[in-house]
Amino acid sequence: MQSHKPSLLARIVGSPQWLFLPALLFLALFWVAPIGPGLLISCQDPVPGTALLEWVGLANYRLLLAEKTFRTNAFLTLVYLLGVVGFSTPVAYLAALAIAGQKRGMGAIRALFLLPWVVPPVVSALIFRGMADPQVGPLAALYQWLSGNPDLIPLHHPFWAMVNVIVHSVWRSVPVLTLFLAAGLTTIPDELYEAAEVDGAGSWQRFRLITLPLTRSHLATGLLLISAFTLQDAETIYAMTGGGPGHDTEVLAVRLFREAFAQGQLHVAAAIGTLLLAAGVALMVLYLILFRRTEAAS
Amino acid sequence: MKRFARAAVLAALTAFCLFPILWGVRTSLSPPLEKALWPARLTVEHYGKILSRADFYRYALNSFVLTAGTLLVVIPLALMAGYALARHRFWGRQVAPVLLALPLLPAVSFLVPIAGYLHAMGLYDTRLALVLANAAFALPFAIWMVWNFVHALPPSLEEAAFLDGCSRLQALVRVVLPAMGPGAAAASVFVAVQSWSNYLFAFALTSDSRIRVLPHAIVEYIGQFSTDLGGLTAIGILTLIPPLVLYQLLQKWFVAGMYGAARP
Repeated sequence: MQSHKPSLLARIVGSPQWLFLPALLFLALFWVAPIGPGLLISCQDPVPGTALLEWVGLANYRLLLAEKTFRTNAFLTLVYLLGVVGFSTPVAYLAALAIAGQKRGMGAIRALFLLPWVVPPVVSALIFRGMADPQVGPLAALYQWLSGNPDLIPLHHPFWAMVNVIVHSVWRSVPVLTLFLAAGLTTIPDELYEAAEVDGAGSWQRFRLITLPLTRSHLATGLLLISAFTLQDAETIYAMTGGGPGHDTEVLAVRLFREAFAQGQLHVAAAIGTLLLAAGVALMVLYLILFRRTEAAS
Repeated sequence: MKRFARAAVLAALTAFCLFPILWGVRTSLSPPLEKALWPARLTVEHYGKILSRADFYRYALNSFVLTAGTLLVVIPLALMAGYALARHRFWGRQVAPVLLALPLLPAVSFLVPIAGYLHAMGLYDTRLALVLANAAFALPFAIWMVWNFVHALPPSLEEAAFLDGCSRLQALVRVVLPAMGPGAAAASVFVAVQSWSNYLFAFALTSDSRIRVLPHAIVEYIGQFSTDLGGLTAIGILTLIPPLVLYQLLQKWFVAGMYGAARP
C-alpha cells in the first residue's frame, strides 16, 4: 500500500458529501430558490404609468378565483388529467402483460414501446395536429365517423379538440406507464398464476385477484408520474391548439404560459404558478409516501 | 396471456406506437392535400423547401450546441452524485428521495421567477441560461439512473482494486469509472433527448432568433404556415432524426436503464 498524504482530489472523491453537494446546490438553485420570488411576484402588481411594483396581497389570486375563465381552466385540467390517466392505464396493462409473457424478441419490443418518448413533444403535437386535419387526417376521419358529422373540423370543436389533445398525451404516456407495470409484473412468481389456473380462475379473475393487487405500488408510481407530467404539460397543447378554440383546451399550465410569455402578465402568471405548484407538491408528497412504503417493504 | 392473444396485442400496440410516426413520414413525402393513406406519388419537395432555408441550419446547430452543453453539465454531476448515493451511507440518502421527486413539480410554475433571476444576472436570452435550465430539469432522473447502475455493480470491484494497491482515486478512475460507462450512456440518452426536445424553456428564456432551437422554431412555423402539413411534418421528421439515431445507437443501455429505474 502506498502511504502518502491523499491529494485534494482524492479527498473529494473519498467523501460522499463533496461528490453530492454540487448536484444538490445546483438543483436547489433551480427548484427551491425560485419559490420565494415566485410568491412575491404573485403578490405584486405594476403601478400604472411607472416601472414600479406595489404590494397587492392576494388580489391576483382573488381576481383569478372569481373569474369564469379560470374555473374553466381548472375544470379542463381535471378533464385532461383524468382522460390521460383513464385511457393510458388499460392500454399500458395490456402492453405490460404482453411484454411480460414474451421471451423472444423482447429487446426489440421494449425498445419499440419506448419510441413515443423519444419523439420531441412539439413534433408529436404537430403530427397529431395534422392527423386531426379535416381534409387529410385519419384521426379526423375517425372523429367525424364517431360524431356522425362529416363536416366536423376537430380542432375547431371544443369537445373534439380536447379529445385530440388527450389522445396525443395518451400516446406519449403509455410507454412510461408500461415501463412501470412491466417492472411490477416481473416481481410476481409464475407459480401464483399456475395455482390460480389449477383452481379454475379465469383470465379476468387472475388479473383482478393477482396482477392488480401485486402491481398496485408500481401502478401508483407510474400514475403519479403521468399525473405530474400531465399537470405541467403546456407545450404539447400550446403547439397543437394554442389553447383554443377560444379557451376550450386551455388547461392551467397553458393559461400560465400564455399569460406570462404571450401577454406579459407576469404577476397573474405567478399566481397561477403558485396554485399549480401546490398541486405539484401534493403529488410529490404522495410519491414520497409511496416511496417510503416500498422501501420499508423491501 | 395465451400466445395468440399476446401476438395480437403486441401487433396492435406496435401499430399504436408506430402509426403516428409513420403518418408523419408519409405526409412529409406526399404532395400537398394527398388524401390516400398510401400516396400514389412521393415527393421530396417539402424537405427541399426546409433544407434550402438558411435559418433551419442555424436552429439545428443551436439545438446541437444546447444538447452538448446540457450533457457537459449534467453527466459529471450525475456520475458524482449517483456514485456517492450508491456507495456511501450519509445524510444524502435522506435528502435524495426529495431531490429525485423534484421533476414532479411543474417546471412551468418556476418559469416566471427564473426568468426574473436570469434577467438580474444578465443571463436572460443567452445559451447559458438555456443550458442551465435544461440541466436542472434533467439532472434528478440522470442521478437516479446512475445510482441504479452503480448499485448493481458488485462492491468487490473496488475492493479488488484496493487490494491490488490502488488508492481510492486510482480505483475510481481505473475500475469504477469504466464500469459506470453503461450508466453514463443511459443517462446521456435521457438528458440528450430531453434537452433536444424542450420547448418550454426555449420559449420562456430566449427571444433572440440567433440562438433559437428547433422546437421553438417548429412552433413558430406552425403559427406561420399552419396549413402546410407537408412542410411542417418535414421539419418535424428532420428534428426527430438525431434523437432517434442516438436512441438506436445506445438503445441497449438506455432500455436497461429505463426498465431498471422503473423499480420504485
